[in-house]
Amino acid sequence: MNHFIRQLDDQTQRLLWVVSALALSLLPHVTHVPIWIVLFAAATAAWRIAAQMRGWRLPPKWLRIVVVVLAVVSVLAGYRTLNGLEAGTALLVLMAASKLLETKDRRDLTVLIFISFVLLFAALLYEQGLLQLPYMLVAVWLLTTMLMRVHQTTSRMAMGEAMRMTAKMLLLSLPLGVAFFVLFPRLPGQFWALPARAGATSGISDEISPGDVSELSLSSGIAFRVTFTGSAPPPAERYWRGIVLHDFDGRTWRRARGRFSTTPSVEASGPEYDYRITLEPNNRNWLFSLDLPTRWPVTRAFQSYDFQLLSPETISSPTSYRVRSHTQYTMTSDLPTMQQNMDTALPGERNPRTRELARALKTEHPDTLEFVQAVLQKFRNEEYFYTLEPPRLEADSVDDFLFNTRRGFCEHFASAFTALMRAGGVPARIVAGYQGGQYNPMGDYFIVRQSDAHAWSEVWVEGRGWVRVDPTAAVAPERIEQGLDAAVPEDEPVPGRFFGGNGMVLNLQLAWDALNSGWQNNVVEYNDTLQRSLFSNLGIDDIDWRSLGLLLTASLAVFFVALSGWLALRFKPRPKDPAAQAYAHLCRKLGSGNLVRRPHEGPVDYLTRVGTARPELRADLDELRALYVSLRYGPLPMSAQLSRFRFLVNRLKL
Amino acid sequence: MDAPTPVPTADAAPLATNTVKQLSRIILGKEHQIRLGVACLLARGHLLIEDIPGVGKTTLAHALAQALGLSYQRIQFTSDLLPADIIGVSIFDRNTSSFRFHKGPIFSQLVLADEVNRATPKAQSALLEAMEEHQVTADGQTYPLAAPFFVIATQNPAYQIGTYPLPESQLDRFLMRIELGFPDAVLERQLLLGQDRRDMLATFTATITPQQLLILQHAVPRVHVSEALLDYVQAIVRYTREAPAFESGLSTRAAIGLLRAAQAWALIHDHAGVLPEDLQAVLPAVVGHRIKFKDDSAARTPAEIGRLVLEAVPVP
Repeated sequence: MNHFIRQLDDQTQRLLWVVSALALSLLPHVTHVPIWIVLFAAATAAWRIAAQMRGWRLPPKWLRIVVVVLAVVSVLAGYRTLNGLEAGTALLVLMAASKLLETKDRRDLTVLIFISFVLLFAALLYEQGLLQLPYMLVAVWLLTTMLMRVHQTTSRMAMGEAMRMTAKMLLLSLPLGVAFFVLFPRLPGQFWALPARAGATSGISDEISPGDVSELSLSSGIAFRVTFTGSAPPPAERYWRGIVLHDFDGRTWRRARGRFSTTPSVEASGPEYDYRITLEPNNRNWLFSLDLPTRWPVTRAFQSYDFQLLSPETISSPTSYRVRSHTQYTMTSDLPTMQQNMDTALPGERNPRTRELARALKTEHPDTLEFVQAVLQKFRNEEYFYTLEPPRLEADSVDDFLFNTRRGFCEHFASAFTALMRAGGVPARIVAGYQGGQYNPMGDYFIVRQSDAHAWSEVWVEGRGWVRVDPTAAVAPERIEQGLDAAVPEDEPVPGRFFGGNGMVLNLQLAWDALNSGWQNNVVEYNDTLQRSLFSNLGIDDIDWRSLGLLLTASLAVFFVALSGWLALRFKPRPKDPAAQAYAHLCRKLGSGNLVRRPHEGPVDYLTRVGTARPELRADLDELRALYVSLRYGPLPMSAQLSRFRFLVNRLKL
Repeated sequence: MDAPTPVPTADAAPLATNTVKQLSRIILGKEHQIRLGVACLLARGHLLIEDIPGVGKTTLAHALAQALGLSYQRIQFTSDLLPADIIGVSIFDRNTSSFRFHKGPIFSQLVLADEVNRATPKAQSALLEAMEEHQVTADGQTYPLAAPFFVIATQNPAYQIGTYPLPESQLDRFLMRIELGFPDAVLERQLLLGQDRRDMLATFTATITPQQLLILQHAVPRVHVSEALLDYVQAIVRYTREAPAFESGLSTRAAIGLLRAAQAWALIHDHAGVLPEDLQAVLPAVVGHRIKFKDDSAARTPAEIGRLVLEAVPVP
């Protein structure tokens, strides 16, 4: 292969380099653009290489214009716009491929490599994970190498040598890149934000039917990560509140359509938990928080009357926010009648046996808390099973579950419990979110996965307000204390169970996750806030963009001074020969008018020339010449000669 | 020069000057080329003389051979010349019933390869291989060549009809390539009036004994080379490698050749150490055939190439 490449002429070699550069930068986009664009790019590259080898003529101008117009039109047809990330990428790929059709001289090749750089960096708009990093680095390395090779005219370098050279260049520029990254003033707000992308939603959805949460629990995907400042709450209190569901049609729970302005006043007690959540993109607009959030970033989220934290935008890229919560609280206000009505409503004719049971229990236990205990007692003492694989339920799902199948996941228990409460006239609602989380000792944070998805209930107790009741805890207390794996039968497909027992795999997984979240939190999410806190850690409080700019300029100056110092040291000339210094002095003395020494003129030639022009100096010049030649080029220069030479130079009167 | 000289260069300068003077009586007005030729041979390099026919190439080669007192053979290169015509041939000896190798003209101290570019590449490479290896292999038997062994080759400019120009790799085997050029009008008039050069060659006597030649040759690498001069050599070599106008720069072998030639030049001129001027004097002849231009359209003389290089590199 190598031999084959060496046989190609320069132009073909360069073209091959550039085509491979283009391929390298197209690769990350293969999944983002339609397949026909990928095929078009491949076909153009193949045709261009064949044209080079066979000496075909490149297409005329009108044909190239037609190709470009067709490309624009087809992108417009496919995306209905030329704007935005997807359409922009598609257009860029098409244009890069079309550019190949007119690539002739070195300038075109250079342009193509620059386009490749742009394409490569465009891939960062889609993904900025740690997994992309090695590919990006290698690709930038190769692209820079190819850029250098395209420009190389004097002597052809072996690929290995060129790679080493660019590696050195890139490493040298690394401090500069770091300085720019850390110091470049970051502006607050959305200016730097990535364009929003339409994507698939994931995680907890805005309605829950029996089987939804258990299905979600089969995924080991990560919902969010939590870093606590200070201590974390005990496992039984790790309820991550998401959305609240009010509307029940006998089978499915949905969010309330109405909005209420009155939020119950909360009296928090016990410890306050301070933590930061980094949410994986899910394309929903609700934020998770430890039940119950008491302080949250007001610019990023608002709280609804039922304590959901909602974001004004959908979460399409990793998002992190800081919240404070109390796990112990009471509410002092009354429940407004409208809300009371909403949270006691049940659909007319459905689930008759449930209503009957609720009425019986309620008459037996008129006190709300006792009624709650009675229902939980029923779940605990009778034959109910907690399972990831619940049987399908009939239309009257609560009846079917309570009296027939008796096997269910958290949403079955929460749904049945809430329905029983409502049937007994107690305001109740379902809260969907996550429960638990895996502690990662490597990064000191919790990983909350989709498999931690959970649903529980809240009932209104006069005098205490909304009280969290988790019926799942009555059936399978291990679920709350130890997680899903401990709670469900051994033959059920809990995600990660296969590896769960293996300490090393688990540790590797945790280490990788810690690395990833560190990357996400400190590099990808590096913004004005992080920048400011970084500098306040260094002792500079409240740094503004002016001082940042100054610091940046200063560090650039330091970098270049250091670099030139290093270069100067590395290519330091030998200490100048004293004879050469004295000779330079002599040349300065003699050199005026046309008697200036020409750089390529040797000492004998020069002094002879001067001697011819200035016969009165000839005797001195002859001696000077003999001395200098002996000092500088002779086999045994002597110090006496040097002093004589210096003396003569100084004595010389012009 | 009051510095003592560790090598017997005291004899060298008069000997060389004498030789140059003798040669100048035959080749008029070409003293610089004659000095270059002598320096080349003292530096143990092969010499290539290139010019149009009739300006005295062959005469100079002849004269050099005679002045140095070496056994010499002349090979006229023609398009039907075979390698065996150069190296020799094995002939069956009836008496001993075995093959006997008859040595060719290459087995002499000085070989004059006349019009070397008129022979086919096959014949050329037979000569050039011998130049490189200093030995000849025929029928599986290796025969060493004479010592000293020189080749002086003459060639016509490449654009003439019926020539096979030497490839670069083979040109590199010649330490120097010199051009003669026309003599000026006054000297040409003398030539027209004067004796036939061939007759003069016949009466020409050697000015150096083989013993003296060996001493001189041994003295060449010992001529002092200062750090300052090595800087200059390296600056020149680096320039030829980096200048965008050149396809390829000087090799290390070429750099060594350049230094040896400058040393020989210094020896001839009785310099205790090599001066920048010595290097400048030999440089055109040494690098002229080794530097290839990117833009091949204009043929350049060694002098032009030399000036191009020298004027670009300051003397350190």
